[in-house]
Amino acid sequence: MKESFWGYLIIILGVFTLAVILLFNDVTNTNDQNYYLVKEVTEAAMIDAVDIAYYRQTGIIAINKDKFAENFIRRYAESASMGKTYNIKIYDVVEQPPKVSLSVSSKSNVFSFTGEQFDIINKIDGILETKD
Amino acid sequence: MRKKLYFFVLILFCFFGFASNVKAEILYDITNFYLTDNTLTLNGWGLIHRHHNGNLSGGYANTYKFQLTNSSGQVVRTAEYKYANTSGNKDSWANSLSLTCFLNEQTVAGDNARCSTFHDDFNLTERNKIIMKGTNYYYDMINFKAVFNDMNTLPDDEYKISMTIISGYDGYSETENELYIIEDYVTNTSSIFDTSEFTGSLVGGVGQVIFIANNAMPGNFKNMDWSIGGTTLGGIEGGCYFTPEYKYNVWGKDELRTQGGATFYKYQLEFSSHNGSNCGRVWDDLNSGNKAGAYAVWVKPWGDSPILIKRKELDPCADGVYSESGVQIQTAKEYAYSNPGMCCDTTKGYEVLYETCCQNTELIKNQNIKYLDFCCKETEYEYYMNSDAIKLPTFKYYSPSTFDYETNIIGPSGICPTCDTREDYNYDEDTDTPSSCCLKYPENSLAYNEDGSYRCEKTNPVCSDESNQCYNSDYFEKNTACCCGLYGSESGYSEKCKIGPTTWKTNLSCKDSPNANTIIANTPTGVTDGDTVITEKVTFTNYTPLDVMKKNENIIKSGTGLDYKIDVQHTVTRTYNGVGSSKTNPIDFGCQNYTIAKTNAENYYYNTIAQQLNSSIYNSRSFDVGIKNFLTSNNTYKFNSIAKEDYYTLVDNTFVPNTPIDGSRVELYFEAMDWPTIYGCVKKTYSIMVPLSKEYIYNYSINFKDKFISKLDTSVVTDVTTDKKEYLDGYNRFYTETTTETGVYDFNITVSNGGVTGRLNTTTDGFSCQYGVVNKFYNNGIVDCSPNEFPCSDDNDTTTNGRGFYFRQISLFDPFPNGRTPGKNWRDYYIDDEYRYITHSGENDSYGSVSDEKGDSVYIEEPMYEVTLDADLINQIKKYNKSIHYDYGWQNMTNYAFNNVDSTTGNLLSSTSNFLSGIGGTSCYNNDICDKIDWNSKLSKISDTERQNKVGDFE
Repeated sequence: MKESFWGYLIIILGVFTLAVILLFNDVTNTNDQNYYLVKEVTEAAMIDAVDIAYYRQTGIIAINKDKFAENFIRRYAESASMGKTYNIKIYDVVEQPPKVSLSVSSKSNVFSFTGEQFDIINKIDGILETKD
Repeated sequence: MRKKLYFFVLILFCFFGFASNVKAEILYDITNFYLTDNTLTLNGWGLIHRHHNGNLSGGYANTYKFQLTNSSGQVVRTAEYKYANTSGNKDSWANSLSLTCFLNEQTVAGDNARCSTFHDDFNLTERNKIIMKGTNYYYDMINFKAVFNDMNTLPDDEYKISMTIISGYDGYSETENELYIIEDYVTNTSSIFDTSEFTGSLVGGVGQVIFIANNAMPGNFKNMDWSIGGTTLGGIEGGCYFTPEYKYNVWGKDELRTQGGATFYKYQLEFSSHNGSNCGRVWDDLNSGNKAGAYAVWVKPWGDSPILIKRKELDPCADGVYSESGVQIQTAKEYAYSNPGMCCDTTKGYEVLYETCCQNTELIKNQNIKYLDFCCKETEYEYYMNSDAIKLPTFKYYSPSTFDYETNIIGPSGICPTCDTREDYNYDEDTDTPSSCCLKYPENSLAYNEDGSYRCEKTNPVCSDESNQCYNSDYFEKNTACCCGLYGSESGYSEKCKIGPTTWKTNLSCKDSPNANTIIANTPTGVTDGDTVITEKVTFTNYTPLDVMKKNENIIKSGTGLDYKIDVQHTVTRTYNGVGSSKTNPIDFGCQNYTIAKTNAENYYYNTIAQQLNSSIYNSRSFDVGIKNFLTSNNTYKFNSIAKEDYYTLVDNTFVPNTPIDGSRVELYFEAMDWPTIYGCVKKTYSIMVPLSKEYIYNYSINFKDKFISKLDTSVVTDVTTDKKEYLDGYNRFYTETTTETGVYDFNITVSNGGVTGRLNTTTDGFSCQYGVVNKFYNNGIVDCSPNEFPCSDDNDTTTNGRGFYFRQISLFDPFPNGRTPGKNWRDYYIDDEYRYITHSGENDSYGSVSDEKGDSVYIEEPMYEVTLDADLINQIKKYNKSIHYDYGWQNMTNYAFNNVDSTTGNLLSSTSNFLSGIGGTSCYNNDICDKIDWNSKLSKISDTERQNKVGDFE
């Protein structure tokens, strides 16, 4: 084998390695970002969804599920990357006592591997607790 | 004090029967005994059983002596006694001693006088009996009553009392026949001999039982015998003889009785005659007037040994204290108070004054709380609240030297509260007693509540300087008040504290303000020819008092509404110009149908009065007798100031004065009289009255629920019926803001707008009260949950700053790991180791039945909302957010504009998101200003019918 072939091989391997690194970098970084985004947005949305009118009547902290879903989507969209497609699934909203369970999965619109897209799924379960 | 009055008198009571020529045997009993301060009295009977000494030369009366001798044999007292009266009634004895006669009056025929020989003044026919038992042998019965005087002056503790009988010689009582006597000393009736004898014919066959006596006592039973009239034995045919044995029957234990320390039984004594085979008939009847008798028993003497007579020792706890001269110095109660702890024996029978028994903690524990309160009162000042009005128990001052409160009461083994918690100061409603803790400190005081109960106006802080211990949950629970700074301690308000406000104003105790009840106005405006005076009086009759408002359950959370209801009595007194009248003569409407008559009457008077009101007051008109009483001297009618709506009140049969609702001045009375015999029908009459002054009472309630107050601190009040508020304003509530700081706020209710008459232009002072608010929503920065600082030492979650609730990410299988205490709103859902709605389904959960495992199974269910957020949708939403200025509030929710309340139930209606509905508005696709998202298929939402609109335990 000529020495030049070794050079080509090395270049090809380098390109491949770079692609893999970029792919995983995209995936992992997105996951980190998604996790904290989901957590922060969930907390904010739950607090925004606290039904003040109900609290005035009863003194009980409750959330409105529609309001929670709206706020979550709006807040998440405000911080989401335009380069990805997110699938937000809100599985459980207990209005009183306040509890939510949801998942957000994202797919990169930029990188794919052999035509397959990796779903990065973050689930979060949270509650609102009142103090004594 | 010399214990002279408490000496023991040991009295040897002996019956000595002796005489130089008589051999005697004495049986006796003391049936009653009295020992007073200076007198010793003995009652009893004795039976001397003696033999004749053969000296028949004459008869002598027995001599009896009652003597009290000391230990040296010296006679110190001699009892006084006299013969009994003829009735034999011991209760009325005039004399202290009675003696039986030696001989039955008929024992020796014609020899009645013999008894007289012994007892000259005794009526033999009544009761005195004598039995000749045999030759030179007979019994002598006595009833005695001996009185020894001046006993209190005897110096010694022991004496001997003796009764001596010196038998007299009786030369005439000798007989061949034994006679027996039946005595009954149990019943002590005067007729005892009536049941112990029989007289007249006595005929009996073999085995025939002849009733002899009741009420005989057991003892030394003797054979019975009988005799006839003092003659020789005989009278029993053919050698028959009386059975030597008697028969008797015990009556029953319920007849037992105790007397003089001995138990007596009643017997029925019977006897019969028998001659072996052919006996049983009395050979010779008793002659008329003769008597036969049998003695059944006498009581065996138990007095043959000395009896100990112990004079009662006075118990100062029961009897009080006496001087040597017998004068009472202290009553029992005074003694108990003067000697705390000395009169606390509940077994002695005296009244135990428990407040004097503070040292007996076990005893006090079981008593009324008021004693505990008293005993726990540490200071020694007089219980100054003693009065009938207050109805506190009357306690006596305790000397500090009497009790060591710290050791006996407050100490570790004591029973008193430590007075370091708020609860220790609470007024005890059950006993209407203020806490001892309140009275522990003189600077505290008692104050009255509106309901007449007390409260403790405490000024003395009781918290120890141990606030750092509030980190400890147990300590916190026991010292909540201190840890929460309610007593001015340094701890300050705590998030954990259940009671937030501390600055209740003592001068606003939910009562009328000083001028609230004053008459608001007179000379009302707008009245020129009507009322001369209108007064209004406002009384707040029923409301929640301040002490109730202070209770935890009534302290509201910031942002919530205050429920407060006050019943108001509004009394309006109107004094009219013009002429009034008393009740007019009734007008007879005859025998009409009731309804018709009533209607006619109403119309009649309505028209009559209306005519007058519509006419000049000087316009003379002719009315019938029904209202002639309103005619003035110049023949005019005056119904001044009677508005048309005040025409009349129709009152059927009953005069209802001051009917407030009617508000009328003219009163119409209807009366139905059922006089069918006169009128042949029910007669109906009517009359009217127009008073010159009338009082109207209006009762109504002010309920904050029916008022909308935009903010409490501005006190802007409007009726909910005319002012709708936005959704977040929370229904028709008198509500606080979520930002209202923890504290105490007062409110004042006044009557204005002309009062109920509309003619009063002065705003009254009103009703003032206070309510507490604790901010659970935002804590206004009061709580700084820095690590290791009270009260957040166990909770380092700094995200909780400034808000009463916080978000926490959880595990669906262990949401409160490592024993973490759930937040308060989750505690009710931790049931049987299940966290409802998290690890297991809750009651209103749509993920299965209650207690079904839930956990992460939610992720295999269809999502409630699912959104595919691509670049296009992201772009729309960002435009949307920008259009509404990134407001994440509730403006775009349905039912936001007005009170979102079900008009029937008063409950909030559901509010849904216009953002999610994508209906109406301007699309965000191609517009920068928009309020509508074109979701297309990127949003899927489970309908409310598929999943409950509101899950969880909404009320």
